[in-house]
Amino acid sequence: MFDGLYMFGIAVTGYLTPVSLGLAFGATLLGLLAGCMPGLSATLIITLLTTLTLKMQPNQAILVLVCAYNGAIYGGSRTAILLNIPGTAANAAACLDGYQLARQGQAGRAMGIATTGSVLGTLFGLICLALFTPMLGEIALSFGAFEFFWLALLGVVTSGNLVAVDPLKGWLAGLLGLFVAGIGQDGMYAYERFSFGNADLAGGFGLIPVLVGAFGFSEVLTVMSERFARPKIMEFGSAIPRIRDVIVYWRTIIRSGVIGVWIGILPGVGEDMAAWSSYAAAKRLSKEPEKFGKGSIEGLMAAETGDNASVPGGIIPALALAIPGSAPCAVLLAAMIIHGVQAGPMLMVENPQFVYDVVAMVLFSTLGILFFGLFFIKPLLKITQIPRSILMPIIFVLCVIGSYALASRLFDVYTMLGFGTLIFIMRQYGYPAAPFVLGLVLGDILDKNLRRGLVLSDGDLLPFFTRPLSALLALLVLWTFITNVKTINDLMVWGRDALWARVWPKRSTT
Amino acid sequence: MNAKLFTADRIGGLIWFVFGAAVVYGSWMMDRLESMNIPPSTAPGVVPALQGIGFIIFALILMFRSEKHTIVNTYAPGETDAAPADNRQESFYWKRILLSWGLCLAYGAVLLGSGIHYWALTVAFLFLHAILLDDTEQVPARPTLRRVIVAAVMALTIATIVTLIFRYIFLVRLP
Repeated sequence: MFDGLYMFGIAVTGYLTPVSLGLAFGATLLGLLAGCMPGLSATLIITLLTTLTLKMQPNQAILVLVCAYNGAIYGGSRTAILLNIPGTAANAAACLDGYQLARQGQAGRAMGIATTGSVLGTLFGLICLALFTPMLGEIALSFGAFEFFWLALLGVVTSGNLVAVDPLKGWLAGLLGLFVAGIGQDGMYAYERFSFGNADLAGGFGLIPVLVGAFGFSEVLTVMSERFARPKIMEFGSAIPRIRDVIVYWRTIIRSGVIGVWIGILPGVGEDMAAWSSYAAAKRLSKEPEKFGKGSIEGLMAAETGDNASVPGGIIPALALAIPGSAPCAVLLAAMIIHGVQAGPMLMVENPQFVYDVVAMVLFSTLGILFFGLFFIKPLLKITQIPRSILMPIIFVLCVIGSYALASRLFDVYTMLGFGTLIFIMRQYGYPAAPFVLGLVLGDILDKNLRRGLVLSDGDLLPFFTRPLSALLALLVLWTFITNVKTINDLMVWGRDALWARVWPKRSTT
Repeated sequence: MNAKLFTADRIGGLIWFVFGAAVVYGSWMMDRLESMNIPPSTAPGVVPALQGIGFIIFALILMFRSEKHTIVNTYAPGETDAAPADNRQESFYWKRILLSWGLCLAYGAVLLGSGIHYWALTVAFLFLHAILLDDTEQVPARPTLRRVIVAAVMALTIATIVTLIFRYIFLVRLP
């Protein structure tokens, strides 16, 4: 406990330099601006920044990414409140009550509530990040190859299940991500899989070019295809939050914080689900449920607390298990790998200071949110006035040069273009990008641990199902499949009825 | 879900099925490294083969599901073809995507690295993309002189900044 506080103190003082503070606040502002722009997701801005921070020191690069991530999730609330357009998917729940409050002439108050909720949610998540990451890391030290295989599979399955409207399509996207991760030399025997004698393919697809394609190029195409009139910004007053709003809804804040962190920890689920779940829980337990959707302070507070609490929540499994909690966390994890930070159970043994460095990064981004959220409102909204026809080609140029700069080879640019086009087409037909990214990041973990497990058990599959934790994870994976595919459900019902008909013919006919 | 989406699912299911079968075949044909005395269960093709089987199973469920819905909804009232206005909107939508995609591909896949100076190519791309897709009602757009000037200034500024940053700060040899 005191070791943790000591390391946190070292981390905070370490970042109290003009360069680090400038980077932290600059990245938070950049994230806020990106979050304000409908169509630019948190994942996109982190992916682009990953390519732009390659030459930086690891700690400073991760600082920039964490601050931009947190800032983007908060920034989307601005457009949700003033324009009824969520800046990121995470802010969709904030539209319901935020926009209604703005229409009632309380836009300033709504923005104050969004800022308060986001700051308190992130602070709650930050405490959980500091407390639970070491605990989870310690538990994970007892995990073997069998458990890690199931954890990786559970991550893809959960993500596919919860992110997509149609779980089947989510799983197919996740499976494609797992397959793409396996292309090139395998991690055990350096055997070239599906490279067809191509030297570039033998090295496998670079994680960053694929991510830039999936979230950068595909979003450029998506945004360019939409009709979008330049929005008119509503008038608003002071955005300084009222203490009364915090005191009256303290239960909602804590509940939403818990829900946000918990959903953040679930592999691959994300901030939007955290916001909706917090909103739904607040509505169910509210004394004034009839006000929800008509300008409820409690509803807006719940949604904004939930989504920002899930940011540190999602970082917990990424650090402790190397299993990302959301799509932006998957990119963050990829950036850590590129910068030589080995996330996973050994992190707390080999580099425990890094965990507290990340806690300090989240703290600085929260301070940035508070500052820009309260005193920098009008300039933030000017960004929404930039035409998409100007902004999108700029983003595409950054996608191209960012992919190329990794290894100075054009193959990475072609990879970005190819996967961007593929993901764009898949998105048009209901296949989400998040499970694909999860699959891509977790593919190596899944492959290595399945085969390691098989080596340890001499080819026997039983330990994958008989070790207590493995059995539990396997049951969770199977349960998710069975309960979400109607065809399997129908087959099970048919099988049960057929069995009953044989065992007890009279009863089954009656 | 509408009938169009079910048709797309059926075609999608078929594509996934063929892809899964190809993955299984490719995995089966992989070297099992028997000469290295490795356990057969850890051969390089095991994991992709399992993934291929996964593709096939999900593809079959997708096709079965869309087939079932198509049969049920064949004579169901209410599912009519898109109205002419929707068709026009869809055509506009696809024109815009194709133009943007074509410009991006021409820039990133064809002209980049072909000998044209990076800065000049980037200026041209940014300018063309900004003016051709400027109008949200017409593809390609017919921009006003003011918008052409704005696009030119933006293209020159951004291309110069990106070139300078990557060339002199990140020390990247630009294509």
